[in-house]
Order: sequence, then C-alpha cells, then structure tokens
Amino acid sequence: MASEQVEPQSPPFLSLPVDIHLIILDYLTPADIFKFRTICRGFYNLYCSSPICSRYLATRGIFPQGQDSARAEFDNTFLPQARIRNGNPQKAVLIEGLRTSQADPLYFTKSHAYEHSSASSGKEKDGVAIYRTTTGDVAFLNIAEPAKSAVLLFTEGWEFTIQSLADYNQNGPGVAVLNGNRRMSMPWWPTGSSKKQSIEMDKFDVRVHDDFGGQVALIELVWGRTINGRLIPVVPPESETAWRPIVAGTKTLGLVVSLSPASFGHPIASFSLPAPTWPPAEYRLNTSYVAGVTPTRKEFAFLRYQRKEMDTVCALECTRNDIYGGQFWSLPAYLPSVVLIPLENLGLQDYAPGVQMFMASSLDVHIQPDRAGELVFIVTGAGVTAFDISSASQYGGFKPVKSYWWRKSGQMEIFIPWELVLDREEVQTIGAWRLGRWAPKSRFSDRGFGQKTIAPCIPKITKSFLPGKKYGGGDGDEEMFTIVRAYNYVVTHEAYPGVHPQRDVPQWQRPEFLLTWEIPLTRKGLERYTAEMLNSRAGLGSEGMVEYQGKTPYQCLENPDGLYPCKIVELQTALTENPSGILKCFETHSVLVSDMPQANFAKREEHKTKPRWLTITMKSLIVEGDEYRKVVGPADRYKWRPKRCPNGILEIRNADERETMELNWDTQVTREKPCPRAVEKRHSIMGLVWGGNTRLEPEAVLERGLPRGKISHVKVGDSGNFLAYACVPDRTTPDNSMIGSSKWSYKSAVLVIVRYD
Amino acid sequence: MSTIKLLSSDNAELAVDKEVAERSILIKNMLEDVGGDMSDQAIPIPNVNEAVLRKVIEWCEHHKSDPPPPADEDSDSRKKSTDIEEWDQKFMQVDQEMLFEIILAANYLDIKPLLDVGCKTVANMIKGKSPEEIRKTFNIQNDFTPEEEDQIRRENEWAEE
Repeated sequence: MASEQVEPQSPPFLSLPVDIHLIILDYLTPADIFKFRTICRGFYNLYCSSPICSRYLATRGIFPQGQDSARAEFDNTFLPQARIRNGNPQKAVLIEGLRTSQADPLYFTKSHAYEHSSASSGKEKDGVAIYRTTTGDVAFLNIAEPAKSAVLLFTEGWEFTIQSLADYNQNGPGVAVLNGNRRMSMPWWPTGSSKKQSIEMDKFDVRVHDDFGGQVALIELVWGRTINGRLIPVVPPESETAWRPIVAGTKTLGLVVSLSPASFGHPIASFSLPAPTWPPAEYRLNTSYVAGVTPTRKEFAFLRYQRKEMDTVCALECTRNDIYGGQFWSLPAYLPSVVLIPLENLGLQDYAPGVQMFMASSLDVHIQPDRAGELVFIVTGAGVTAFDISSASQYGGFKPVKSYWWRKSGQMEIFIPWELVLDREEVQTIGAWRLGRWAPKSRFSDRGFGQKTIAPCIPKITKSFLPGKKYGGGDGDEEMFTIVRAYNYVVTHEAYPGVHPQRDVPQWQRPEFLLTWEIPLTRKGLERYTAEMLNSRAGLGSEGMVEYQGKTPYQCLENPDGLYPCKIVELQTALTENPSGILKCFETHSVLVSDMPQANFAKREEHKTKPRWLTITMKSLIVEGDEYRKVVGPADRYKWRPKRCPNGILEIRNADERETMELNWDTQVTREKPCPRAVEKRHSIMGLVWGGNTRLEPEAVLERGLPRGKISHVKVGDSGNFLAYACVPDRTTPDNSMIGSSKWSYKSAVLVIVRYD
Repeated sequence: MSTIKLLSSDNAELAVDKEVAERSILIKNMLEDVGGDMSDQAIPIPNVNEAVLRKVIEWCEHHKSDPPPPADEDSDSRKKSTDIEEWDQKFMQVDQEMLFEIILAANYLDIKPLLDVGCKTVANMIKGKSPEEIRKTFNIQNDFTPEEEDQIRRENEWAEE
C-alpha cells in the first residue's frame, strides 16, 4: 500500500533569522508566545532559547524589587515558565564579581545544577558555571562553594596552571601577592591574545560541550584568528616546532577538566581533535570509563565524537609522563596517544542507511571495558567488537579480538498478536505518530503473528552489565557480558489498513522493550565462542523462536550468523530518557536495575550473568535476588524500610512511600581518575601563594531586590527549577582596579540564580 | 532629481530615484562611501530578487516623505502597537513567501519601518488565532506527540486565560 509521505521541511517562517523573530516577539503578548510554543518543536525550542528569553526579559522587565511579589510578575512576564517546575521563586542567589565576557555564553553543568542531592546530608549540589573571563581565560565557578572556584591558565610554555577565581579577580591573572604587598607575576599566556603571532593565531575559541553528569567538563579549544570581529579557525603549520605536537598541523585541543571537589578545575585529560567544521561535533564521553576504571597496565579514556560524515571513537591513553618535576602539568608530556576507531569498520554504515541526519542526535554507541583492563567492547547498532587494549601498538592501534553482529542490525522485528499488548485504539494512536518510512513491512502476515513490529528507528544501547565488579581476570570461557538495547514500537502499514502515517519521522521516545544479548567477557571466551554457539547456548535453534515473557513468540530475521537476543522485557513507564528522575509508581513497572552487588548473586548461578529486573507493583517490590538497599537511593535507604519477605519480595506499606521512592541509578564505580601528582603539588603551591578568598561567596537576595541591567546568558535549568543569568547592573560599582595594577580592571557582572522549588 | 540603478540578484537593473533608494540605510551609506556618484554603475543587491526589489521600491516611493524613525526604538517596546496604516496593509496583502522575502529584504537593506510593517503583519497573522489555526496559516506540521502536547498545555494553562 503506497502511502503519501511528504519530506519534512522547515517552515519558512521558522527559518527566518532570529533577529527578525526578536522583532516579531515585541509585538506578541505572552499568550501569543505561549501559542507559538505549542505549535511545533521548532517553535518550542526557539521560544525557549536564550536569545528570545533574554530579549523578553530585557524589554519587558525582569523580576520585581522584592521576592514576595516575584511570582505574579514572573507569571505575567516570563514565558519559559513551562520549563520551571513549580513556578514559585523561593530563593535567589547573587554571586558578584564575575568578570565574564559578554560574547561567550555561560555554561552551567546540566545534571547537578540545583538538584536536590539524595545524600543524607541534605546538601544541595549547586553545580558549576563555566565561562570565559574578559581576558579569555576559562573560569570554573563552583556555585556551592565559590571559594573553591578556579581559573584555568595557560602558561607561555604551553602548560596549565590553576589560580583561584577570587585571586584572579582580586589581583589579576597569574599575579600573586606575597606578604601582603609583594607582587609576583607567574608566567601566563592570555588566551584572548597570543604572543605567538608566528603561528598566525591570536585567539582561542572555547566551547564547553558537556559535563557528563557534573563529573568532568569536556572543553574544546579552537585555534583561530580574529578577522573583522569573527573568529576564523586556523591551522598552525607543521613547521611550528614550539607547538608540536599539540597544535601543529591540524588540530584543536580537547580538554577534560575535573569538577570533583578534590581536584576542581584540574585538567585530567587532553587530546587533539580534527579541525573544526560544520556542523559542530557532538561529543559523548563514556562516563563509566573516562579516567575511571584503572586497567592493569594503562589507562584509557574513550571519547566518541561525531562530525558530518565522520563518527569516531577516540581512545585516549592517559598514562602520565612527568618530566617537569611536578612543577607544572605540561601538556606535551601528557599528550595521550590517540587511537581512532572509525565506527564504519564496526558496521555502522550498514546500520541506518539514509538516516545520517538523525544519527548525530540519536544514535548511541556504548563503550564498556572489561574488569581486567584487557578488553574494551564497543557496541554499535550493528554489533559488538572487542578490542585488546592491553597491547596498543606503538603506531596507535588496537587489535580487535572478535566481532559479533546482531541478528538484525537496523531493527528487531518482533511479531506479537497485537491484541495481547495493545488495544486497537492505542495502536492507532501510537501508529499515528510512530509510523515512519523506516518501518519494515511485515513479511509474515500470513503466519498468524505478523501484525505488529517492534522496530526502533534509532535503537539505543542503554546498559551493559559485567558480572560483578571484582577486578582481576575472569574465570574462563563461561563468564558472560550482557548488553541491553532498548526498543520502541513501530506499527507496520499492513497491520492497520487505512491508517496512514501522520508523521514522517518517528522520534525516539521512552523505550518500551529491552532486549538483552550475552557475549563472552574474557579473551579466552571470545576466542572460543562463535555466534552459533552463543545462540545455541541461549537455547535458540535455527528457527529463532524465543518465548517472549513466557507466552508469545518472536522471530529475528536476516543475518543468519548474527546473535539472537536472549531475553525481552517489556517496560511500562519506568525507564525513561532520564533514568535519574524520581520514579512515580502508579502502576506496575518493570525496570532495569543496574549494579546490583555481585556477592548476593554469585551463589545463584542463574543470576550471575544477567541484568537484574525490578518489578514494582502497587504493593510490593520484587527484585531478582534479595538485595534492595542498592536499589533505592541513599536518602530513601535510611527512611524507607520496607518489610522484607522471602523470595525477594519487599512490601511497600503505603502509597506515599511508593510514590516518592527514588531509585538509585548512580553507579558505584569510582570514576575519578586520581589527579596527577604534579597538579596536586602545583595546586598546593598555588594555594600557598594565593590562599583563599571569600569574595565570591554567594549572597542571598536582600530587600534591595535583584539587580537590573544588561542581561545576558539567560539559562533555564535543565532540571527545570532554576533560572540563571548574568547581569551587568545599570549602575556598576566602580572598577576594582587593583593595587599597582591599573591595567587589570573590568566591568563586573553579577550571576543571578533564582530558584523555583 | 538624480536616479540610480539597482542590480537585483537575478541581474535585473531597476532605476530608482536616489531619494527613494536612500530609505535604505544600506544604500544610503553605500552612496555616501562612494561620494554619491553611482549614476553610471548599478548597485548590486545580491540578496534580493527583482520581484521583491520592485515591491520594496514601491514601498519606499510611497513613504519617501516620511520622517526618519526615532533612533532608539527599543526604549519602550512594550507599548509597541500592531496598528498598520491602511496603505501598508494593502501593500502587505501578498502571499507568505513574498511577505517573508520582503521582511528579509528590509532587514538586509536596513529599512526599519518596512521591517516593522512586515513583522507587525506577521504578528497580526498570529494574534487571536488558535495554535491549530496558526499551524494552518503558516503550513506548520505538529510534530509533538499527544503526550507532549498535553504536557505543554498543562504547563501553560496560566497563559490560556
């Protein structure tokens, strides 16, 4: 049945420049703007964007003088209320003395910013703001503990060092005041203007890409020259020996900077990246491995990045080679050997032909090391390849040990009599927006169960499980590593004659099915097991029929050499895109439980290599196994003491407990690579010289109200409960020109954070 | 009255009075930069095609005697009115593609009053319409899921009064 499918097009209105939308905005009422935000995603994003919010705030006023009436004013004037959870401002914090550049936006850590901590201490994680100072240095403002804030400085010898932000503001970059009045200038290279004109570079562009759960910041430094006010990326010549091997030739520089309290602001990894092109790369650091697990011989961080027509995994060898006696953390000495693993070689090009435009935002690649530090598994939509990382070649190469391919790479067709799971109305509703051009046609409609297809357009790899976390070698061939991928429904055209697709491109929503595969964990096992043996081990013959939740068959198609999944679990509502959210339990849920302690399962062989499933019903919580303490979050662990019953069933006594129970999704792996000794030492030297300063202590808003002035960098918190912006007040305080440093003066901005609880 | 020539993106030469052309700040500055003498050479307007350029010139001719707009228009933007003169209303009765082209041309040529008229016209097309009507007007496809739509609506109930 031919269906009329229209190529999605950006409406011409939406493609008008933002400047024009800003003018149109001036003529719209809040209600008009609201309507705009409801008509499509593009307008929603546009009208929640920083330029629009900023314009709105700047032209129609911001908050009133006192906090008491803030809500009414907020409701009446500030539109992105939709992204504020409760819309009731409770607390505002001002952090003065910011020397922020007007041009570069502030970056706020995403996941930790103003979220309630689940720790029993009740302290809040206030997150980190990262911004460029007026001089071009990168400042890390620790909002919870401003006194610990730091600025990352580059020395002229291309070394990093850290200065406390308070001192940076007080005395200037790289300047220390000893014994009260003696000034000492540290070598420092202002990134805003280089002396290295010989390499035709005069500026860094700093792009903060991600903070990976508030652990580390991934920052890209792009070399460039300013021509007519625009930064033009430049490529330092190969002949520039002073800059080799960091910048010479092609590269921009990637920096991973620690945000943990112990080593706040310290760079922990650096690597070179290809020259910048459009579109901007999307970086995904494998958080479970960056500077985390310490293999037996070497340390690697894996970084996946995507640019147009390129999708690559970088393996960063983080072995430290300290040749500077601990005085400075020298970048050349730390340059990791970068191993590029083009994902094309892992079969990715076969995975989703023709959907490249969606790959960058939705496709997932999972990188998982083994326990022994010998192997790393790179899981893609096509299969999984194990690399031997214990013996990287001197030319920067990893040896692949083995690849297993999925039985069907692009999608998994699972045929289920649809009346078993969804009623017709629901299927029609779902089908209305999930039907897509990649939905496969059912080939088995005449075989009794060919009516519905679970076919993710963009499947995701959500979790992978090692059997336990004990370090050291595996115990032979039988240890299995479990890979979990998540799937959505897509309903085929044939199943519902007359139902035409209303949407062209299904969007990834929450996963509804999880499928698991098992492959050997150890090198010995990999060498022994073929895909056929693994299928046989899982009880799957050539027919490929598997019991689905004990009652319904499914069948995998294509790729006869590929692996079958060994388990399917249907999810109702629990596992969402944001698994760290509080779980609302209004119905029975099956959720995937990660990181269950191995000790409790070791004695039960059947659980040893499986992911653990948690089922929450109205009255009970059933875990495969009997360990519940790791399942609930630390806060709930103390206040929630369910009655323990045999067979892993825990009774939940009342609805309140059930609804507020917070699942603990935090992995227990210590992720932070110990910060290099040289940096610690260096930091302590700096600390001795510079000491602490409390000028950046946050100040709760007083009766005088929030500052008015030029507002920039408006940010609505991703967690939906705070609003932050930088403000250069109308009446700025006189420049705090420092003693003996007349040239070091700036306009002072205020970071305003208003919290909505 | 001196005449100058404008060269559209599709290489059409249009003669226009200098006074009319100088409604465009871009052209005005350009003429000032070259000493005002561009009688023998067409000024290239690479971002605007002939049809749109003719419309823009038509508007400029009608408004050539208007006083210059105030320098700081943003000072009280909250009081901005969407009222449009009758002639301008008729002028803007074009298809959407042309309307957006005129707005883009006004932006490029730096003709603020025309840009404002264009933006007001768009704003008036939005006002008083339901989201579905807005979608229909601008040929926008609703790509929200029903759940998302519900959520957004719930979150914004306050604005629907």
